[in-house]
Amino acid sequence: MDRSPHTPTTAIVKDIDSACLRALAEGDRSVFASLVERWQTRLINFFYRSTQNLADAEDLAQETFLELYRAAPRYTHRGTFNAFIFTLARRRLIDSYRKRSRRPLDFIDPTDFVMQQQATEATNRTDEIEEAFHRALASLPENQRSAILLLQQQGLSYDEIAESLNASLSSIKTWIHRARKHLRNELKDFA
Amino acid sequence: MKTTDPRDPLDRKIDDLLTNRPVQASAQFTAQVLAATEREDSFQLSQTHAEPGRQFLRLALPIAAVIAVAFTLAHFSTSTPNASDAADQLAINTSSQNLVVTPAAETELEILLSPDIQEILMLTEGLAGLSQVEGDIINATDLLNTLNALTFEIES
Repeated sequence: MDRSPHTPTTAIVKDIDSACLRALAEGDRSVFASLVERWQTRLINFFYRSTQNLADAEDLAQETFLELYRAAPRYTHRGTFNAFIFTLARRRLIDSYRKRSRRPLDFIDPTDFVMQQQATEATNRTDEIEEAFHRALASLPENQRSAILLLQQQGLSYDEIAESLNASLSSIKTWIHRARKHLRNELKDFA
Repeated sequence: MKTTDPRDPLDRKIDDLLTNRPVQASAQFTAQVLAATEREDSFQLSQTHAEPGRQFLRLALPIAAVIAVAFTLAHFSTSTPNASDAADQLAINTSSQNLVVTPAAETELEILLSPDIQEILMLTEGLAGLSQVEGDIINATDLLNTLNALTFEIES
């Protein structure tokens, strides 16, 4: 029943990622650029679904890559690279939530605010369901949102998600089921 | 666990939305990440180079403080009167002034020693505290100048 994206192609790609990280740990910095190129879209979209802001998503992705760069020497081949990188990514995400909760009020430039409103209105006009989906996703608890995104957006297996989110397999299945149910309920008007 | 029904249009729509990756990285993203790693490397390198100097300061400053205190105490021990001299002086004062005790020698000792000892203790604490200061803030030349100035003040 578990999704298993372990096709030969993905296995090779995963080996390349692990090999890149090992090469990086041995001092070959040139491989890091290819690692960034390969993973940037995936990471940025993962963060974008949680922050709903491209600049924040890029910042978080950059921090995750830096963390990966620092962690290269201590990377072990125990789990999969997928699980490893999303463990780092989720830590960055939770850190950003903590920082945001400590910051009482963000300064909003009036010009930015007007531009943001116009952009939001444009988005509403062009794709109402995408906006509703964003809202529904944002209203999910972090663990449920991360679990369903890792499964469906990132194609991780249940085992990899459990490792990334540091939870049991049964918890992951429950979170994904609840997230799915919530999304269905929130988007039922678009059926 | 079955979470989706492929025949249900809403489930299909949710699947599409979830699998969709709507944003792309900006053109300079990779360059920015690589620049950040270079900054990280140069920072690590500067930390590594600064480390031996910092270790040296941490070890050398308390030793310098101890040496300064030892020299100062040696200087005072040769110049201050000993206990029997002080007692003789007290006895002379007592006899000559008809049993009116004037603790001249004792007072002299206190005047001589108490502020000086306090000064030495403060100097020791100050130098020990300086050893805890990060090497980037105060460099070795500043610290040696400070030590010279303080030693000169004590000796004078």
